[in-house]
Amino acid sequence: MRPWNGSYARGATSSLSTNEKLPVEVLEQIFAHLNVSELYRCQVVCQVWRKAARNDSLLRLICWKEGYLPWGQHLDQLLAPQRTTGCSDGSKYSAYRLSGRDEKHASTLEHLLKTSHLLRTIKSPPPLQNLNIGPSKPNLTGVVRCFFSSWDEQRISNIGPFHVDPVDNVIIAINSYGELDVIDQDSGAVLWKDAEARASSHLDFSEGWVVHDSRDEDGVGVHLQLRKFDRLDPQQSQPRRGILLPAASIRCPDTPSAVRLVWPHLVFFAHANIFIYDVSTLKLVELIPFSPRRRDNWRVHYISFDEDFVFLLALHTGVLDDSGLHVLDRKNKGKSVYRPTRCSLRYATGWQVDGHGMGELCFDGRPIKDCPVNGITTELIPSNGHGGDRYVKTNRCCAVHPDPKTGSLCLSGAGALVVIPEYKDVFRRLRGRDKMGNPLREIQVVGVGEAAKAGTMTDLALADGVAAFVSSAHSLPVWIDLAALIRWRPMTPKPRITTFYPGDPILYDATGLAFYGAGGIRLNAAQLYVALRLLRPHASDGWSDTPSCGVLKIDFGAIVQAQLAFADRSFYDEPPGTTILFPMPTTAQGLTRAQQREPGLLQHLSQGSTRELVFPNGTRRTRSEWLRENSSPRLDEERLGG
Amino acid sequence: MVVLETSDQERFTVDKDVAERSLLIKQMLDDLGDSDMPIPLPNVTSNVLKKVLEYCGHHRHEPVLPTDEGEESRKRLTDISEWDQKFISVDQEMLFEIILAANYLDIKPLLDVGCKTVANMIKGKTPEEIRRLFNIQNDFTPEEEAQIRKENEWAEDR
Repeated sequence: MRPWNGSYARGATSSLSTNEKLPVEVLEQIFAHLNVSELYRCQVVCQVWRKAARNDSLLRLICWKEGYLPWGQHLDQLLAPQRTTGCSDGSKYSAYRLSGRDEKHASTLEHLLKTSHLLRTIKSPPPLQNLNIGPSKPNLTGVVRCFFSSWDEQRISNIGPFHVDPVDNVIIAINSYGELDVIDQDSGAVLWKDAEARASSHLDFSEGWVVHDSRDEDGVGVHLQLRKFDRLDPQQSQPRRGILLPAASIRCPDTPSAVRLVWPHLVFFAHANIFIYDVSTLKLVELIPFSPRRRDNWRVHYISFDEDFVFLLALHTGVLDDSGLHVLDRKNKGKSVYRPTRCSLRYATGWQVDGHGMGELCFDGRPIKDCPVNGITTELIPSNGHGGDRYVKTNRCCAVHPDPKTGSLCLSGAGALVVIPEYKDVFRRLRGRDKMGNPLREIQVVGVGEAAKAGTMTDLALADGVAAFVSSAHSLPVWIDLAALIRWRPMTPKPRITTFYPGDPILYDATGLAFYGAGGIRLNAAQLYVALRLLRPHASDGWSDTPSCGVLKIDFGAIVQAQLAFADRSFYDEPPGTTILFPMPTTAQGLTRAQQREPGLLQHLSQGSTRELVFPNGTRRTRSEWLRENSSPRLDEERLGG
Repeated sequence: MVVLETSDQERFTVDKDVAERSLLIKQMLDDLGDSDMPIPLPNVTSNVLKKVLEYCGHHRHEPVLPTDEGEESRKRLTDISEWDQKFISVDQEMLFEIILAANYLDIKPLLDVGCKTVANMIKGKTPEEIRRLFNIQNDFTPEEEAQIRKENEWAEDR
């Protein structure tokens, strides 16, 4: 019996304290309705509450609710009933538990939550330009890192889809030869590799589950292979290892042309049907027929979904009119709520991105590599007003995802991002058009870039209200705040678009590499990952001809934490005389372009004229010398301090 | 009609559809088949079951599985309907008893109402106020508590 502590709880008639009445499982259920700051305040109450509030699945739920984890999971799926678990006190019975992964990731999730929260609440976001993250700042190692695959040099030019997971701390990538690599983010080591996947590979990864397709031995049938990632116990003398355990195999009636895995659902399109499997039970839970009006020359090349809708990107080589976005209603037997001929998408706000070609980016008078980029700068230019009515077609779009944070649907294609704000409202209005009197004729969208052009290697990632996309095979990764983009009204500050470019100090200072194109992009609330075609410097000869491929990670969370740690002195001030490795376009033209593109870069150059630049071929110049040699008449000498 | 027997041996005779709001009872009825045997509920007392059945009776015509779209249910996460609010305005001990009974009997909507009510009580309170409210003894040493507060500083609203 607990001693009476002298205080009265309101209405309490028994001397039992709350903790003796409510088991941990019920406390979790209560805490699930709190936000981050309330949850962390509960940790201070007592030991039992602290334990309950630091639970893995609870943190996962909070992360999901706050939009820190990827889109697509329904709250009820995380609160799935698990009838066999008993309560911690042994006597009572708990019908509901938060379900998810093994209960061992609490600290990782807490870290994710913490860095994301810091990122969101910090007054100014970390400026990537000017950020000195080279070897001179040992505290910041690992902020920008490159990871390499185990693939043969000739096979890596085309990295396929890749995925990252902050909880398992791995990168999973596949190339166009069907080789699969699992890379550890701590050591950079390849934990596991496999060549079983098919050449035209589909790969998706969610909550520790991997799905990829494989062909049967007879070469005819196609299976989707489900695997579960598992860490092997670290042995003292051995590095950490991991394994992809075969979990299940689903035979497809036909070659699946689009696959998506968002735990617990596996969705794929094959044989004029959308199959939705529950991965935890391996049961087919929904089957939605989707047949175009003309069956020939028809292909669904991208699929994604949320709890209400399935989004498809279809390409009809014969009839372009019906190519593009299709939306099906999951709550209404897969009835079509949107197709391209139904009503048109019209720009409410449109942004042009200033298009400088990157082809002239030179080093020692030689182009680094031909870089036919659909020019992206950090400057967005409103494109309203000229061109009159601006309608957008989705037939060239290559990826579509819903963003739960802003409630918008994002489509990306070569050189363009199309955003449908409040898409659930829009599609609901389309669904019930008779009630409204008038059918919806137009959907207002927000667009960035030109109308999408043809392109294959494009990718789109969404997290925490940020959209990141790679718009073509030789393009730059770009990320943008969706809320700012949607909410923008004339006379308010313009939304920011962020990018980095070949030879960017962010990449070069940290890794000593340059790149000439991106292949794919992944994002969570605290980190950005881009698959890049990388160039290594040659001591005598500029840049190597054979590109290699790697995944670049920029850890914004770590940058913010370092900023806080350096709070007493200026984080960006490097000591004078520091040697900085810094490849820059050496032609005046290139520099001017860089200056136009990147005002921050100019500042970087203008600071500290005593610092030396060491070029990969061994030449050394101080910045002011280098600027004097390379400046064009248009450069403002005074501002540069030269 | 279904007969339910509480831990204090009181028997309640209720309509089948009311009793089946509890997925536990529904499961038991499915397993038992047709039988007049009273269903024992050893974890629930009669005064609590009376209250729980009142809730089940009021909500008997609603679908067992929520049909809410995710976004709406997320927005309404802390909203409780007027009837439910009145229903759950009970003293703290009864509130906890109802939550435990809903958890045991597997009545998800009732469990949610109870948990939301407790969560609403927690919102906006300091740890001291929470301890006082729920009669919880602080079992941290002052050093431990200071340490945790420092660690959790980042999560404070600013």
